[in-house]
Amino acid sequence: MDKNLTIKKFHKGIINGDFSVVEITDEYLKNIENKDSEIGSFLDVYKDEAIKKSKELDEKLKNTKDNLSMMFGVPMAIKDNILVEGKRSTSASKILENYISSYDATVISKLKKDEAVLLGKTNLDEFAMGASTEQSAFKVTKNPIDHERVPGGSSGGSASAVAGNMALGALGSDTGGSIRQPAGFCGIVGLKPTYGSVSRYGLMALASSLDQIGPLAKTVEDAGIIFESISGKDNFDSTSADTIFDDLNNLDSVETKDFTIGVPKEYFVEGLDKKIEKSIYDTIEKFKKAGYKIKEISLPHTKYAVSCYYIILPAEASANLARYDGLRYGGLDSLREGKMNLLSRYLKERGDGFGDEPTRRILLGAFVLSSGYYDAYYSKAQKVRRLMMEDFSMVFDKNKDGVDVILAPVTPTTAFKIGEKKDDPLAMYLSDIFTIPANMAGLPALSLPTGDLVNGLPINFQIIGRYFDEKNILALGHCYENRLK
Amino acid sequence: MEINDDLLDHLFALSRIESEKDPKKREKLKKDLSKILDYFKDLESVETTNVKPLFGGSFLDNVYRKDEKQNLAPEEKKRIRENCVDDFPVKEHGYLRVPPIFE
Repeated sequence: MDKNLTIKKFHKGIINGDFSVVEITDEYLKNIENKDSEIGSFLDVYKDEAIKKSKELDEKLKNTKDNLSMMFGVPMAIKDNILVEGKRSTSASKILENYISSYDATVISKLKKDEAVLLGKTNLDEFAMGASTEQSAFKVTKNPIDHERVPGGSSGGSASAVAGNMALGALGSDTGGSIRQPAGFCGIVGLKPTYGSVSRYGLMALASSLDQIGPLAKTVEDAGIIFESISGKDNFDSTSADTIFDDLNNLDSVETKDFTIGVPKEYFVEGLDKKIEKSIYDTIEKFKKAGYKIKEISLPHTKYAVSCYYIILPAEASANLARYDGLRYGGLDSLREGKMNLLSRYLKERGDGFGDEPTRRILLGAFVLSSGYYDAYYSKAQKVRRLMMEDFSMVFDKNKDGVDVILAPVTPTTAFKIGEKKDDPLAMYLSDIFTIPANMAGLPALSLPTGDLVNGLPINFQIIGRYFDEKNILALGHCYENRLK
Repeated sequence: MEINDDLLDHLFALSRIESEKDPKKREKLKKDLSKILDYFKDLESVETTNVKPLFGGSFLDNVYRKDEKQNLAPEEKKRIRENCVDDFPVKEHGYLRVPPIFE
């Protein structure tokens, strides 16, 4: 199989008749069969349906090849916190081991409408809480580049599926870096859209003021194609914005050469691996040589990102996860027959059903929201969050000679070893430092490979843009990927 | 901020999660939570007088759709209802059966 297959090439291929949809779907399914027992990207594989759908699409192709969606026939992997009707959606939690989704998430309806082929559901840290996919209740996913290392998280299953050629594209969710960081650890492209660009209807809520669904793909262009398909206004998500993104498969037409690129000095601090630092500086140098204006900027509240995030997220998560009460969403097998009153049932179901990390975060959330601590923790964090958002507004301000995009590292280290940080939650939290700010401010951010490797492991950088400026950051990323790298 | 046994049990109760009983796991949980809360101390140094807390994820306002009846075909209605009811672990005559609140 062509390891360099992209959505764009696939689209041309099926139109030219170089291959059929079934042939390609079959190759991906074979790769899953051969490799996934070792890598562990998937929780469920929809083999028969994927083949059936692909055959239907090949029939359609016989009749017409006009006006096909760019997602037509594209074999996609879906993070298991996104609902697909009639299918198990577990969020990698034991508490949802029996939950069958009763409806399609809006992103899934959109992919279905565009005739994508769903290959299956991918592993994640339980309820998307984690940065390594080691916190799944079901299995540990490995990095396809080095099987002793984590693929990152929480969308580690989706990232490793794409990097390991077990899907042509994937959906993930990003609350504090869960698309961009695993994309970085696996050396692929990931986009966290602007808050409001993509409907979250049917995404299991983690922290509602931060969550966004986004694509993981081999190239920037592919990420743009998937994003175009899933984005747009949705009446079922009241935070969804009325913005239309189109023509994202033609990024060459976007002129980026007049962009000023901001480099925030607060991202180049102690803790950032020296080799990553060098790779990011080299990347900046490439943009400079190509004629882009580079400007040092300051985002002074960056260093408070982790504290702020790990107060706000547990607070919202403790409320969002209150719905898992054992009375709906399947319930645990072990408790089905037991005779107990309502309160004992809640306690037992949630005690047995939640893993260590969700439990820790729910307790933390209960703490920061409880009487006596609310002002010192939760309210304080929300104030600092405003200051972080204002930092961004200031540097992006068009009236004050602001920059057009910000270029920064994604992670302080390359992919770490399995087990290295699992028992030290704070160490794990600190690895989110560079990705959290974009979620705090609701800004779009694209994670893509610099092209450099450290000991064979990839390094990604991120391009953060203004609100709803997805097209511009994708265009700049595409330009780097094709001409500057 | 030190998390002691009483506070830990209080947080479990607030969270409607059965308290951890394993002494080793309790110690680790207390230690981890205390360490995380200590880390949050760095926020104390940020000047936030007159800064309003930011609660939402964007500057945009919530947009609500009209609360009106959808015109669904009867079989569609039935499917949606059945999909939901199927997920109830204990059900009776197509309804959710809940455990008694009082013994």
